Amino acid sequence: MPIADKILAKFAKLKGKSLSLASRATLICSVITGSFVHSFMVYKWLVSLIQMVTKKIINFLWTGSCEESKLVRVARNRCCKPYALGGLGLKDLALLNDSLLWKLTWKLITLKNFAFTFLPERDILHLVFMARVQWSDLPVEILPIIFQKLKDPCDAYRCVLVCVSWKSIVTTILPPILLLSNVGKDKTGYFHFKASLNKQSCSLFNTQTNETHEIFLPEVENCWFSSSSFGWLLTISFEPPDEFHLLNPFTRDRIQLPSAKQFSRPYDLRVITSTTPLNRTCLVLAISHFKGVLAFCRPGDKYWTFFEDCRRCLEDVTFYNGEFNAVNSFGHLFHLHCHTPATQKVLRYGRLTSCSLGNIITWWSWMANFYWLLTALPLNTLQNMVELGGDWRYGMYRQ
Amino acid sequence: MASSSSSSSTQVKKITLKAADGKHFEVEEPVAMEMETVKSFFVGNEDAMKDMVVPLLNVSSEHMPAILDFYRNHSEFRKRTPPPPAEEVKAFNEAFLENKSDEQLMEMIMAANFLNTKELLNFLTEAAANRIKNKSVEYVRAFFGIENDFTPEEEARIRAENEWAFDGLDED
Repeated sequence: MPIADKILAKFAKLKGKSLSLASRATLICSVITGSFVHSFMVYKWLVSLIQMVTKKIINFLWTGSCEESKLVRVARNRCCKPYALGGLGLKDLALLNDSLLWKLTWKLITLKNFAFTFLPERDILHLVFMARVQWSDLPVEILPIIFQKLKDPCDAYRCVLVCVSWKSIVTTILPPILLLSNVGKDKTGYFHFKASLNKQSCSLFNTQTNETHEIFLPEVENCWFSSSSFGWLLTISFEPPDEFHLLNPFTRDRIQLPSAKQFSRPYDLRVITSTTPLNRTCLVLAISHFKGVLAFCRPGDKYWTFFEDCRRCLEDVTFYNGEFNAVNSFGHLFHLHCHTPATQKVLRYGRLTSCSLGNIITWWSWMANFYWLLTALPLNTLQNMVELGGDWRYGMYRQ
Repeated sequence: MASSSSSSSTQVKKITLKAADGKHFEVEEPVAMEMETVKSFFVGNEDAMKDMVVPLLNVSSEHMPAILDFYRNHSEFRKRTPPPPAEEVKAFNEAFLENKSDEQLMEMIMAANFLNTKELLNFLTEAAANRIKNKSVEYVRAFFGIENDFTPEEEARIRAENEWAFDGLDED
């Protein structure tokens, strides 16, 4: 307190009123702040004292006297930025105090000075900083990185059961899983249901072990469903008719989409999303193969917005590198622009020459059972898988 | 001045890193610059002399040689034309992880996180993920030293819903 008083007493001597704003700022930076440093290096000042001093300094800066206050138009933390960042170069006193004390702490730990070695706290501080780490000390931001590396969904879902905080982390990042639709195309091209409609479960295909599992899911009762992106399911209910939802089979989150009435035949629809549907900025793209209909919406929209010029036999769409890409039966790749309804456009991008990816996608998409494959996996994974060879594909085909 | 610049062009510049327990490591500049933390020490900080010692408080000297070895090899792999066969990289990575206990792996992940090196962090977290592959929930809890904070009813419910995920586990 006496130090603060002494420093503030300096203000009285300064003829603040006769100085310009810039010169007052310079005065504060050089003379006033400097006089705190010595005391700050050793003592931790009371918060209330720092606030009081800061208030007087700000008053002096704007009015020229530390007793008169005035409505200030520039926020203090903006004034406290360095010149280069558009501030006045003032110092935040609380921060200055903390950093100077940390500097002292640092010296205590690291300096091999004779006098410092006598301090008993030095050993304790050393222990605190150098303690051997344990797995439970792992920073929280590392865990999601590890979970993303779990390729087998079984492993990820077992991690759900480890503890409550893990559950909340794991359910945000699910590894690619393949959820099988309950609709298939028979040889004549008609759609039929592969299982009874009142079943309360859906099938999950594990690409790592080539096994299918049944997962309990009461929400899909009386629904047609197929896989969408990010491990979500698209469900279209029969009762009430044509209600569209995106459903997360593990967290059971449900997002309503605009009604399916705008589509004449919703049962060969494929829906993919740009991010997880929980994100409000997510774009939902729907493609119907039967009539070549392409539409998009955002969660919460009332209607689907249709692409006007999409009669180009688009076979399939996928989201890759921040853009929706579509491919037609000739292997042409298209970028789809659907940021605002007014400018939606299908832009021709180019023909795929190497490895005829287009044909592969077409090949997949013609088999109604495999719509989900593209949605569940990013484009590059698909390429790798195709390179893996024929047996795997045959295995999938037999599902 | 002229003599110092000519000598630096002929031989690779070295940067000295100081591990947590005070040991010094001499590292070639490109290898050290792979670590974002070391890089940020020099970039935008013209006063920092290149022959300055960089203190790395969160990295113990036990792991420093292994981490530097990883970077030397991987930067060499990247430079080589044609790129080395995948087997060679894989063999190196496997040898790197061999004889590493879970605790050592953990400490290296922390070190990689502190050094802000994406490649090493990716590699190590993948190794950690592999170590909990096909293991039971109890094993994973013991591995990470985590207390179970589910109520028994809750745990039984989640287990029943995700029953499919609990078949065919490896022995712990």
